[in-house]
Amino acid sequence: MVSRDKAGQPLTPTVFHVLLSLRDGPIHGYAVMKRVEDDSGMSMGPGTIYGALQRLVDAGWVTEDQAGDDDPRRGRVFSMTREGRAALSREAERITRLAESVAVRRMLPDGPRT
Amino acid sequence: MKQEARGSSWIRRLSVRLYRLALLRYPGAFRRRYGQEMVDSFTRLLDEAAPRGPLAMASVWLRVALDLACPLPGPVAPSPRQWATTRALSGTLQEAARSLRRSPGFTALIVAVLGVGIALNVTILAVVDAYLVQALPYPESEGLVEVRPAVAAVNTANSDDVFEQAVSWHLFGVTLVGDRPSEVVLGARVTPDFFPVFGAQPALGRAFGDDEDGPSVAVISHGLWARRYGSDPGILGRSIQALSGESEGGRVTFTVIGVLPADFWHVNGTRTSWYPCPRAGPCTWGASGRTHPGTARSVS
Repeated sequence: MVSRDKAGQPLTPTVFHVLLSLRDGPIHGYAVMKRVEDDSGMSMGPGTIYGALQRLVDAGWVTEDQAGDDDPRRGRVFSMTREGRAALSREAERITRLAESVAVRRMLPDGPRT
Repeated sequence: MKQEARGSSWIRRLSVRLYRLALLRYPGAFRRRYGQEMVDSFTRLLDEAAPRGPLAMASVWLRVALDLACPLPGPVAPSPRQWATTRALSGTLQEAARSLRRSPGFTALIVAVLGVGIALNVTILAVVDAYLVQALPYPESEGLVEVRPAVAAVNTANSDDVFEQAVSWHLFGVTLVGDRPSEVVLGARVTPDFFPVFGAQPALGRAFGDDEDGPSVAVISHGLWARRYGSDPGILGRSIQALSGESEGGRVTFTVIGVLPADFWHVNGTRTSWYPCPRAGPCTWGASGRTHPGTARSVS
């Protein structure tokens, strides 16, 4: 489980994108890598992805299970826990607040001006 | 196409081995937990890149090389102190990058030395892999031996002491002529059991019979069939004109009786047409044999 003090800290970009990739349900590590690439444009390697997944599993934000018998591919599937989803929401809110604070200072080249 | 596929497959196998070796830089517990899945992921990246060519495969390697150079991700939500450490590390890397930009000559030298070193290592590993690690690309290849001098194979084959079967061949150049542009290909005259010894059966048509003699019939490679004859299934029975210094008058016409499978490969992979050995002239340029089961290599 994640300690209370950690719950308020900003997430690393890698952890944020790995959690975001798990939003729609359990997927394999390779699918995590491809989704992170699609979402963020960052090409991360297997070491970074599985390293982050290990941290997340140890923190209780992600669970890992063996793929079912009907899954043609070997290996584990990863899914987000309630704590992980809460951490992702908190981080999304934090990033949104940051973006808003930039917008109100009229520092965005395009987009909304408030 | 066959050579490209063979090359890709070869590069893929070597890449996976190298990556498996590179995983040793991670802690043992992490490797045991995720190592196989990381190898599977790397293999899938390679397989996706392979159809796009060598540059795409190189970009996969660049991606994993950078990945291997980085430490494993830290805590999911670093404390302010850990963030400070990360920023310090990032600052160090940025400073290193700036100093490299300030000395482009030195940087180019380092990149060149690294490039040559990596290329040499990959070449050496490739040669070791091809000649010492990988089995020959034939069924039950452990029983196949090369025989020198080749004439011994012909004699030994008759004795049946060592070999179940022994074959020999003779190489020569053939210029294919006719209704298509002339093309020089490498041909081989072979003794009748040549294809059975190497465990090969034509994908189309048949191999040579015992009664066939001389270059009146030929079996051609899949590559030649695809490239010159457009993979035409009507190739069987077609008469093809060729020029060869090995035949009387220099002109020969042969009938195609078979096409070999795409994965058949013999010695150096450049041979594209095979003809029966003439009885009058033994084929003694090279020879191979398939030994009786259990025959020691030292005996053979």
